[in-house]
Amino acid sequence: MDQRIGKLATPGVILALLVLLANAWVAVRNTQKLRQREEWVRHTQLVMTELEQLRAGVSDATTAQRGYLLTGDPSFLPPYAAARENYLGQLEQLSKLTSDDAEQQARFASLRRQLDATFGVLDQGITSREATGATAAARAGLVARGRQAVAGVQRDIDAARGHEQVLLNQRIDASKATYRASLVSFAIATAAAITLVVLAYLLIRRDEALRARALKEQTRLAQYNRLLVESTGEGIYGVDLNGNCTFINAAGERILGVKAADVLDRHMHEITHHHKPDGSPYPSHECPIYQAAQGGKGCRIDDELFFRPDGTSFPVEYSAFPIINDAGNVEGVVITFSDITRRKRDEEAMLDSRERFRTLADNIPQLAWMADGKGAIFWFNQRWFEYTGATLEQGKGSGWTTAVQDEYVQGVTERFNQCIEAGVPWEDTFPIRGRDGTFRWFLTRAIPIRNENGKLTRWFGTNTDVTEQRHVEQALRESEEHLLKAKQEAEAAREQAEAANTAKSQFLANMSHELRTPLNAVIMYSELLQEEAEDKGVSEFVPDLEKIRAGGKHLLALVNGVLDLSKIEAGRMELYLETFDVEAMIRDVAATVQPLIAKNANALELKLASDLGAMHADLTKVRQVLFNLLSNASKFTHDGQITLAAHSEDPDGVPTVVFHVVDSGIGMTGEQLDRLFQPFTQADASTTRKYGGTGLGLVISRRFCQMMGGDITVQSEPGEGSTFTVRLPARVTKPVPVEPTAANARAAPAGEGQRPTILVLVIDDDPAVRDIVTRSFGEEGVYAVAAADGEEGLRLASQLRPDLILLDVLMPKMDGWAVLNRLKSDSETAEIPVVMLTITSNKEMGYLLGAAEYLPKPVDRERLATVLRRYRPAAGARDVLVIEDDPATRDVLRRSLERQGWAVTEVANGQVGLDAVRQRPPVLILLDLMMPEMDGFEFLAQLRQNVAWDSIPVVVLTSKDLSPEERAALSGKVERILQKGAYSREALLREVRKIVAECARKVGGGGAIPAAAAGAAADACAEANVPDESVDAASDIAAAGER
Amino acid sequence: MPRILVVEDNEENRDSLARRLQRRGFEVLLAADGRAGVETTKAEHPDLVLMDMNMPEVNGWEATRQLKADPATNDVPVIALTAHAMAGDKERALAAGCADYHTKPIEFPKLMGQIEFLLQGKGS
Repeated sequence: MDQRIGKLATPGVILALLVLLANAWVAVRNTQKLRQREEWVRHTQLVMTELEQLRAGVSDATTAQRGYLLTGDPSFLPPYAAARENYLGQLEQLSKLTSDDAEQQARFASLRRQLDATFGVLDQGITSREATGATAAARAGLVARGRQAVAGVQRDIDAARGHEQVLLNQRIDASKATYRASLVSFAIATAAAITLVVLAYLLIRRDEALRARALKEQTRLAQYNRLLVESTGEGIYGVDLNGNCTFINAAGERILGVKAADVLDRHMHEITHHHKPDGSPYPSHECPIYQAAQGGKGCRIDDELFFRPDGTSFPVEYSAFPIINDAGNVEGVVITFSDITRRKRDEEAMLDSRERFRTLADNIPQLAWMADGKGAIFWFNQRWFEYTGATLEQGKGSGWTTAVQDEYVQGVTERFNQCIEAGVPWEDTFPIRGRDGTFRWFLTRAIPIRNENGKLTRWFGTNTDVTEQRHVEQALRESEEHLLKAKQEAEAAREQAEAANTAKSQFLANMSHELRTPLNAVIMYSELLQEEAEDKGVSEFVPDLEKIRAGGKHLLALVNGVLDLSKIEAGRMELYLETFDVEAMIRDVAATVQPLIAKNANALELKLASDLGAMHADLTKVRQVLFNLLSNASKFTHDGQITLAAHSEDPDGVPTVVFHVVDSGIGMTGEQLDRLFQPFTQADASTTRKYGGTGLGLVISRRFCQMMGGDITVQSEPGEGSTFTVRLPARVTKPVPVEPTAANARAAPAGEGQRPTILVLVIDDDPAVRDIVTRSFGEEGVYAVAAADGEEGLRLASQLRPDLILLDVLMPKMDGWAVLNRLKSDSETAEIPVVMLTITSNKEMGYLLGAAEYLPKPVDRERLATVLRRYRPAAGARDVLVIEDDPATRDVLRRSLERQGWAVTEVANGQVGLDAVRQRPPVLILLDLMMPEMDGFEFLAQLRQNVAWDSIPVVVLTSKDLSPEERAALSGKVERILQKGAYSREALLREVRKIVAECARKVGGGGAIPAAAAGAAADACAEANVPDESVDAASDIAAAGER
Repeated sequence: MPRILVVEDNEENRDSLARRLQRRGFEVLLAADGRAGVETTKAEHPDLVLMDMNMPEVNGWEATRQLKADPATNDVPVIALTAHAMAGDKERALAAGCADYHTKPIEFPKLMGQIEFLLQGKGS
């Protein structure tokens, strides 16, 4: 709006002024015209008046002449004469007035003539009258003639008057037009004037607005400048031509350490710039600021110092700009400055680091170089020049490639370019020519260096001499290849061997299986024939039939041995570790092997150290080993001595139990010894014929020992007998892999055998008595431990705390009475019932000393059975809890235990079991693992949480194949784990009864009977008859699976 | 004299066992497979059955189960005979209802003991 006004205002004003001027002129002209028109109107009116008077004069003259004529009265003659006198003057006057009008002039000239004529007529009339006194008729004629003449004149006068009237009308119209024009002109002038006023007003307004805006802008700029000056980090101050401070900003105050008030109007050079960096005074006329003021030219300085009032200085970068006024004169100087201490420091550091880099780069053993972002090298370290003998000029850019061996140049260049393009580190190995012309291999590594924007600006690379390394690597690679090949061959061979071994094991297992069926027939028929031969009196056949039968038996033992071996080698033989008393175990083995010893009229001697204690190992296998060694010894010895010795050792901090089996037999040669532990080889093929045996016993025994971390060694001389030494760790921790491996070992079955429910200690020097007890009552749940003399008997009694002691009276060294006395005076054994075996009948003595009963010797089996029955552990106080979900198994267990006098509570799962325990804690729990609702693991966990129940022994009965984790979970919480599948029903029941008895005894008496001690004897009785488990493992697992 | 049924697929084993039993005075019935064993038991109602467990077609396990499921025959005691002492066989035999269990190769005296025990128990 304002702008439009601005644009239009000036031409508007000019236009309006022109209009106004033009109008003024028009107005003047109009006024003049108007006056002229009015003059003309008045003139015309004058003419018309004159014409009127002329007409009136003519009329008067006529009237007067007529009057005279008619009356002859001379009074009429004067007016007539007056009018006659006037007309010429009047005409003259009219002629003058209409001098500009030719028409009127002509008309008046004509009129004069007419008037002259008329008056002549009139005069004639008068004259005639005067002269004649004329008759009426003459008079009338005279009047008519007069009238006639006058009428003509009057017509002319009217015509003139009409002409004037037209003129008058014209002139009035013209005057009116002029007046109207004046009005229009006035209106235009008024409009122009108003326009002018409006425009003037608008212009004034606009001017004011512009002025206000300019002022505001000026203020803003001033503020902005001030802000700029104050907010900048740079110091700014101004000086006048004298060098005195005119202003200083806040940053300037801060950097210089001054207050504005202190420096204003003071000479700034003297305050801040008084010395040069070299310490010399700085005359102000040398100062660039001064020169800027003088020369009117700005300058920029960055290598001087500014000083603070406190005397400190700082490196400064400043610019000085002269202030030049409108007139082009310098009024002062503005100085902007900043403290560049940090920049200087950085520069120095940079310089320093560059220096260090050079030093480093020149001293590293590698060649080093730098290239720009495009890979053009511009710098090499000293080593490069030393090695290549080239100059920088020769090597820079891509000149270095001339030092690369020709055939590599292309590939190297390509790879480097690829890395440059991708911006990734470059690593390459290629030969570079040395100054002597020989090539050496260098490993080149280059890294891209980027600026802060990420742009690749530099490459730094090194070349490391790897010639030697390459030689070594080459050699290494070759040897590695050899090695790998050898390894692969070995691996292949091993795989082959393993495959062969697996196949062999499988084959043996299958074969053994297949061999058993026909063997069964052989044995059965030979036995049958023997019986029939005897019946039919053809006894000469009997020895041969016996040989067939023995051969069959031997073959069977062989098959069993093969199975054991294949099981070991297939890694399926597992160790079942338990803690047992070593001496008890040995005595048990000795008792078992006694018949074999006796067969060849040999004597067995035990030499046991007193500190044997307990060991933790696979009891069954230890027993089997000792049994095997002892039976071998007796087999190859006749009428001789066989010794089983045992003691503890602690070599290398590993407690070890050492067994020696010494015989006085045929002995072996070195060659025989070498083959001794090889499967299927006896010391001599001939020995097989002579002595029988499978040749596998020793091999299996040795493998068992190795599995337990021990071994068997042998010493022998032909004819001097042999000494087999078994060394076993006292604490076997984990199965030691026996080659090939035992990693997949599974539960080994325990052997079948008699399991006692009453533990009887027989103290008798007579083996026959010991034998009758151990042999005759095994089936009836009687387990006997035999002691050959009183000392041993006392020790065993204290250790085993048997249910019953059978004590012989007549013994060497310490007799029965002394033993009885000692038993009864020891609180630990005082409660054990003692039955005296005696030939004498000194009953009073026995009863006096506390004997429970007497049995006369020789011992009658029936009477002994009665006594044993009587002293079976009492049932009343002993509750056994059976937790088992299978009703059949539960029932069998219950009946079996009840027959032994146990009070059995049956429950079907762990939950009910816990309730039962809560109601009446049993002395023992038989626990199945896999059960509904609450399984055995959970039951155990809950049971063991209760301190009161913590000591209740738990025996696990399971057909589950326990994983190592599960075994670990059970470890320490249960007394024993019985694999149901590993026993026949009777065996299982016997085992259960035995363990129950043991546990109960343990709980009741607190004695230290190892649970396994009793089991040892039973195992021994099983001889080496290890049930074959490997043959039908699949069906075995299926059958053993929990319901 | 008590009658014993020998169920055994192997002819030699069946024959030798039968003959030895006959020598002990037992009357011996023979069956060569499980089905025949069950039929013979039903028809003859022997005092005791010696059952080989590992037979083709109807094996000893199945035969025993059938005998034990039938009220007419479930009172006849069965002694299981298996070729090998496989773990689990004992359990299975007991579960199937066998009164006792014997591992082959047969130890005749022991088997005799088992037979006598069962027959006595039955008699008394």
